Amino acid sequence: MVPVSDPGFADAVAALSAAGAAGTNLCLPFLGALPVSHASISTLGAPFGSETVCASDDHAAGLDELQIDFGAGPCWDALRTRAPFVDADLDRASETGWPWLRNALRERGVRAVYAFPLTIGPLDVGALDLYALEPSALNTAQIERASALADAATAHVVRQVVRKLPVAGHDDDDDPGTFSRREVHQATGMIIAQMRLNADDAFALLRAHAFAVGRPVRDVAADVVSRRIVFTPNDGAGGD
Amino acid sequence: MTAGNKERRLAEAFVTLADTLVDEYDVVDLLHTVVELCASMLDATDAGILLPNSAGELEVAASSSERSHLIGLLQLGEGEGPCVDAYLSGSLVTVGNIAGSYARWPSFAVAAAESGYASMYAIPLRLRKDTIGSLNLFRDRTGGFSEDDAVTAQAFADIATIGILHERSLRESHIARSQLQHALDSRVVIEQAKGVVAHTQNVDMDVAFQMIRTRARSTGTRLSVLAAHIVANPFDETANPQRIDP
Repeated sequence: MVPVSDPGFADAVAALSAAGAAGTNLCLPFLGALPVSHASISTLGAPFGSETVCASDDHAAGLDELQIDFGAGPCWDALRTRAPFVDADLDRASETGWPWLRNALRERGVRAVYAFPLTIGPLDVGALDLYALEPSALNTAQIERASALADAATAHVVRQVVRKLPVAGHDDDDDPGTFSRREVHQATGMIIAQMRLNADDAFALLRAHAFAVGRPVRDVAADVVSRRIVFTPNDGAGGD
Repeated sequence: MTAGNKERRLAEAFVTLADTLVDEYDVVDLLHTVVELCASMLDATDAGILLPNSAGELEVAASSSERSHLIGLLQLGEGEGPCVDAYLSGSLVTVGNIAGSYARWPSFAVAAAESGYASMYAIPLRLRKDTIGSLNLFRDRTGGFSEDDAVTAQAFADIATIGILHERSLRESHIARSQLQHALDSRVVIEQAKGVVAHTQNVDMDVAFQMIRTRARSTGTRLSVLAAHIVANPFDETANPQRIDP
């Protein structure tokens, strides 16, 4: 257990609930409470869909997007196993199944990554990712502290996500938010019509194209929506 | 059986019941186990559990015997028998000598005597203020149950109550989860449908959304239902909203 007298922890919990109440950035409190440089939180998979909820800065948002686009990585592993995932040294060989992702994180200056599952009862919510710029393993007390903070953040994450759901009878098209992946869904719809594919295959094609050209899926989706990229059955994706 | 022997069997019975209260359990199975244990452990001839159905009428949810006389006794109406009265009053009803209860429940007294029951015990299934049914124990001798048996019977009634409420809360949480899932899924499918319409009608996303919404309203279709149809049938002209030229 985290000692109740731990002032850094108490401050972080207070900051989390303040951020939760105000609807502001839930990721910042983690930076003060743990020896990490960047933090991000995303919902992953069913039922909430995969989307960045918050990031401590643009760099963290990019790191999070990398894992969401890739569909595998520390955050996915933490949620699947419902246990903290620690990769203390990205320079050292590892048994993980994503050498490409580790390499991409390294290229962005990350040397260690820690992921914590966000769950409520049987419900899978997402994960918290913490990134360090030097190789370092978290000690047991730090892992417990991070886990407890992740638990404290979970309810706020769910509340923020549910608050953004369309209200029955009010189907107005309101502000999608900074990290919204709705253009990904819109682009998927366009590819459904362009390529006569079902939704799963259309999304797989969009993602494959993004990887092939080395760009985030959201960026490619924006180009599909603005018709700078058009998929055609004979030639695949083409630009104007 | 000796006292020690009985305690051990009781402990085993409660372990069995607790084991059945796992995530995906069948409440009907649990209630049948409860009535069988009551009949065998409590020196009762028969036992039965009454629960209200969705219309609020009491029905036999489990009984140690399928004999029609038992079912009939359990389901006598308000004021006609102890089983329903225990449910309605939320209080324990003890009938030490059924023959002596003729003045209070004439049809019950006659029917029970014909079936060979001499005493009975009707225990409300209750959590705090709410009564959700009754557990009814019948004996072929007068005199009712010992204090020990009364305590044990109450414990069985509590297990049945917890089992029923646990199952209900599981079911409700499943419903809440499927509603949440639906809301989240429709968010995705509406965006996909906008993309389909944007391409097939050559319009931008805002216009595509207006077209889908107009179509949903004019046909009385829910937005998420229409969106799912568009995504599954992108070239179905009857379902796709038509472009309205100014």
